[in-house]
Amino acid sequence: MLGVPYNKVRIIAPAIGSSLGSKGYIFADGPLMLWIARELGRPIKWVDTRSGNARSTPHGRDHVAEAVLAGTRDGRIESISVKSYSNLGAYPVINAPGTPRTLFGQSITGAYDIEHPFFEVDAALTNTVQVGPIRGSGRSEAIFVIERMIDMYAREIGMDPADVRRLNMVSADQMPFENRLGWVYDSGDYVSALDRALEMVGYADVAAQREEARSRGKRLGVGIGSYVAVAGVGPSAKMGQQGLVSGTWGSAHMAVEPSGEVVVTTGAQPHGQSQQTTFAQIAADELGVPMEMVKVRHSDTAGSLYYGQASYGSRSLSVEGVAVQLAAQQIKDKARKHAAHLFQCDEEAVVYGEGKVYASFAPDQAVMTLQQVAFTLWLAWDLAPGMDPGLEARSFFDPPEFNYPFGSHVAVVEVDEETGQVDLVRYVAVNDFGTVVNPGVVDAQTHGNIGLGVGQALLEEVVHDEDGALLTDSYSTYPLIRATQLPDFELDRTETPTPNNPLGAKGAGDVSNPAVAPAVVNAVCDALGIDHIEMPLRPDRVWRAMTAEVAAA
Amino acid sequence: MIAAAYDYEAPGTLDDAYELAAQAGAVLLAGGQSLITELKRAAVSPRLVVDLRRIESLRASGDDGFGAMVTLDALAADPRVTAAPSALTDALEAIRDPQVRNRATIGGSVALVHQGADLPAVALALGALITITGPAGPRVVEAAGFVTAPARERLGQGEIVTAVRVPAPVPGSGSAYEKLPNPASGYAICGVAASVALSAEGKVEHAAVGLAGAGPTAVSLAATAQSLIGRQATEEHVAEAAAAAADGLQLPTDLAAPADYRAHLSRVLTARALRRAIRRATEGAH
Repeated sequence: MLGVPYNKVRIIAPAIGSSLGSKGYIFADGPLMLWIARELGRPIKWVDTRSGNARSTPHGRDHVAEAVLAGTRDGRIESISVKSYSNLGAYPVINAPGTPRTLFGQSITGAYDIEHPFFEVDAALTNTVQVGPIRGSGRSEAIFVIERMIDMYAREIGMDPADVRRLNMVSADQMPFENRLGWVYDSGDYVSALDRALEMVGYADVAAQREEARSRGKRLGVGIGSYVAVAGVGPSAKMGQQGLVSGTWGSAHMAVEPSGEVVVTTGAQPHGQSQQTTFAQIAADELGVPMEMVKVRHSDTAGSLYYGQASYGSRSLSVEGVAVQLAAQQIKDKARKHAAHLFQCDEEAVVYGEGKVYASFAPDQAVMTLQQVAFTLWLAWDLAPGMDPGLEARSFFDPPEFNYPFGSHVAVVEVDEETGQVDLVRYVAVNDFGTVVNPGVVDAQTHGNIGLGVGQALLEEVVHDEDGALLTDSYSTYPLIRATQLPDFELDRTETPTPNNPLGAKGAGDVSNPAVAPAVVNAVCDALGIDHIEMPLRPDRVWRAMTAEVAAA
Repeated sequence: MIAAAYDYEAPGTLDDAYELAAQAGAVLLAGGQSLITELKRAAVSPRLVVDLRRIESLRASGDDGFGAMVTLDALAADPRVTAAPSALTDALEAIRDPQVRNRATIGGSVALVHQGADLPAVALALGALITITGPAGPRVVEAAGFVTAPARERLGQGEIVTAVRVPAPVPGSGSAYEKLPNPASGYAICGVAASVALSAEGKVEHAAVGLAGAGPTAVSLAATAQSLIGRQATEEHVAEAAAAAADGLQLPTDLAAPADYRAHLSRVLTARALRRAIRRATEGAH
């Protein structure tokens, strides 16, 4: 950029206030500011405005999908065919077609075993603000289609939508399961997560609640959203086959200071996902030292890392986190080799445990703490032949396959019969993120995914006028969901490790978003007894749907 | 980011404020909930912003009512307001953001009548009296006629809203405010404030209904209110009155809602506000 050599550029990406898909790109403003700074010969500060940001960074979703689902009268789905038109806007972001082509197209079978899936995507260049990935990208759009189609199908054949899902879900004994569009689902019992969610919500008792709600002028509805979402970007060669000109492996550098503290430098780029915590947990757990001893560094090209691949697409823990684990294992190997030299025994006789190395034959005499190992390696007064000073490791992890988190969510809504206002009164979510390192972190990610999905279902809508001017460029015209509009979330997890990495962890960052919007829209359709209604379910649209229904009756 | 340049004064006395307010291109700044947003969007380009924050007398409340610079948060804590549930407590309850409550003022809200602002409609229904002071001294006007007037007709040159008096409820009266908020801005897509006074026999002796969100001013639903007066406060009569609430209204279609939905809401929320006002009147919650 600007002819400055790569090795003369340092970029520090501090707490960037989340990304959600929109910050993975270079926009015209950035290079322009660099050019201005060079022209002026002085540092400059650039502050974007909310409305400027709304005009220059990508908007999300914007698919128009036409879908046909075919199945038997007794609830067995045989085929789904989806034709989708995806708006990329003007000046598309670099990987713009990847969302509709790959993340959307290949995901349309959802959690189900469908014999004949088919999709076709037209990506359209238009004069709107560019459209790019946002949390759940592609998969949220795809799961919305299949989950809405399931409910319409269930209504058509007079079956309970929960039963249709149970009947068609990929079963645990089918794993690994190729969905016939290129994804190879790794592990999990999809039906048990669904059943757990239905049990939590009290699905069997809904009828009684409907009558009680009616007496208050409300129509109660229940909606299910089940999902499988590809995560863990990724196997570099497979990403390359999809057209991405980049490696997508994870990497870590780990050093044990002579004083015993551990410094991890990760290729992830934490901006709200708490990798500083989870990666410290992984290192501390593997090395057997207190978590407080571990410091995680990141997001600075002047760090000790070769190349950071950043955080997106629910990849950090299952790819970069695994690299941290591998680095810790290398540290332990070197510690054992060094100890064997000092203990004058075979390496096989040295055990690493609880932050110490010791000889199995004399655990109380021949023993060193990790700090002592690091200190003696730093002194380098007595090293085995060929042994380098210092205690550090560099690791890479390029997963053999993606991983596939899954789950089922249930939304309970009440629709005001007069105003059409939708109240989300309960939200149950059962997710499976494989092995969980930190429950608080994945629950918080789930909260964010639910909030965003509810906002999409009920409120969010970008509007341009007929001249292409953006009308919704501020928070007084573009509504976001607020805490006061959300119930306490009722969360649970099943935990099925993935075989595709040694941690067993699956992605968690954005994968549970896809279930949310369909769960809410399914609930509103259930409440109103209608086939379909387009998002966002603003009260005037819901009122109109109710009015049309009255007119038809 | 505010791009346009303007002069700024924060006078310490009302006399100075009148003089500054009379200058060409001057605008008054109270809590800034509307003006600052409009400045950011370059929707207004004043030559002078006259900030009223340093005039202590505007924060005090006296015989002429609440001082114009009393914030919504202070209002919500005032014993005269909290004495009984009313259209005013309903409206204040519906504005939850602490930032807005701590900045927005009763005088600013009533003087400016932002589209969808709650308090002008409430002032209408409660028969609030607004004190306007200028170089020639104070004058008192009724909310009806003021918040329903176009912006340019509300204040004369150099005039400032200095106080808003909400009459104390009389026995047998009740009021309520019903609102469907714009989920983005928090302003009312439609808001209806209603007040009634009932005779001992349950007959409606007085009624007033104010509508928010219908356009650039608050709207008095005088015909709806009038149709109830002299009749028993029954569900049937309320439904009848509310059914005609939107008759003759010119309602806007915008990003937030289409006109026909606003008309529908006007009817629904009028019925709801009247029902609750009547319930409060009969239960003695004035």
